[in-house]
Amino acid sequence: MDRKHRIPYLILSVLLLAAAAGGYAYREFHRTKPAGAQLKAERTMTAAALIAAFAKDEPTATAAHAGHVLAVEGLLKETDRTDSARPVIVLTDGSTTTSLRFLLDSTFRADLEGLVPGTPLRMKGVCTGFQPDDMGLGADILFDRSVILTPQTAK
Amino acid sequence: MIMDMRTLIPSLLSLILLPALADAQDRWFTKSGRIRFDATAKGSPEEVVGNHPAIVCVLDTKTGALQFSALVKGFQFKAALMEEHFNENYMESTKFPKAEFRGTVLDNASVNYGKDGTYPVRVKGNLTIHGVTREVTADGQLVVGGGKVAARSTFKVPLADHAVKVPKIVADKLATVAKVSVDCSLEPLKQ
Repeated sequence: MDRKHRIPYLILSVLLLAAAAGGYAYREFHRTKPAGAQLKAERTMTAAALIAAFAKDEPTATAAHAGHVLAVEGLLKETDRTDSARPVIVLTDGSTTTSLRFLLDSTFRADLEGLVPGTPLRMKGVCTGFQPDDMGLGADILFDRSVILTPQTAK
Repeated sequence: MIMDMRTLIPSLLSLILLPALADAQDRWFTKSGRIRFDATAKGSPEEVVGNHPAIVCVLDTKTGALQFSALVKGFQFKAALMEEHFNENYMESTKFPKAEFRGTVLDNASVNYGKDGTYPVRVKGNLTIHGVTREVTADGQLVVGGGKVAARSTFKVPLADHAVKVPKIVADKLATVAKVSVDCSLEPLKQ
């Protein structure tokens, strides 16, 4: 193929590449976060193990868990419905004052009335980090976009 | 004499218990406070707005001491990419996981926490964002009512004050000064 015939192919290739890059950029720019229920748990832990990890070495535990999707088993301490649109499920390990606060996903609906404090509960959510007890309110490990895994109370 | 004892005992109990109850009522708190962060550049069609639905706030009505704390990773943006850039490029939330304010309500004496009403206040303290602490003063409101105290304020935070660098490529989309709104509904802390 001579140079004259190569030019249209080159232009077409450049245009295709530009269109592909533009499409990728558009898709990335408009990408939304998946709902909490669609997130896949990267690891499963007990509340006691997670609390112990943060108590032992907070920076290491933050690096290991913050920003990751965890499934956690613990005992229900309470439900905080200060924000009626997005209630918080609070788990405990039953022995320390540190709590795990799961802010429910905005798309998740559950029958919170059926939850009895002290009963085992399995939650899933994105860990946002550790809030130390520097205000006298007790330490918390926080989760966002959370859903209840078991018992199955989703409506 | 029996009648005297009947009135004396409750009075004595009140004297002992009331200061303790008053102490418990001095501190008000929430773990579900809200912050809205708006760094949309003027004229930009692209909204740069993050919302945090889980900030911790404690107010000591006796001293006027006020404290906020937020985990940076808890800020939520509509677009996933914006949230990732906020955490990784601007706030470096793995390195600086917390943002906090420790200050005082300057005109705390003018607030009657026992009477429902809206009280304009001025708050002064240290704001730590991105590992950099700056002294700030902001106007706000304390709204007493329904057994709660609502703490509200809107103030401006220059990003450069907290060493948050804005790349030139997004300079037309990102404001150099962010507008921050705080809204906390505080409940009495039961000791």
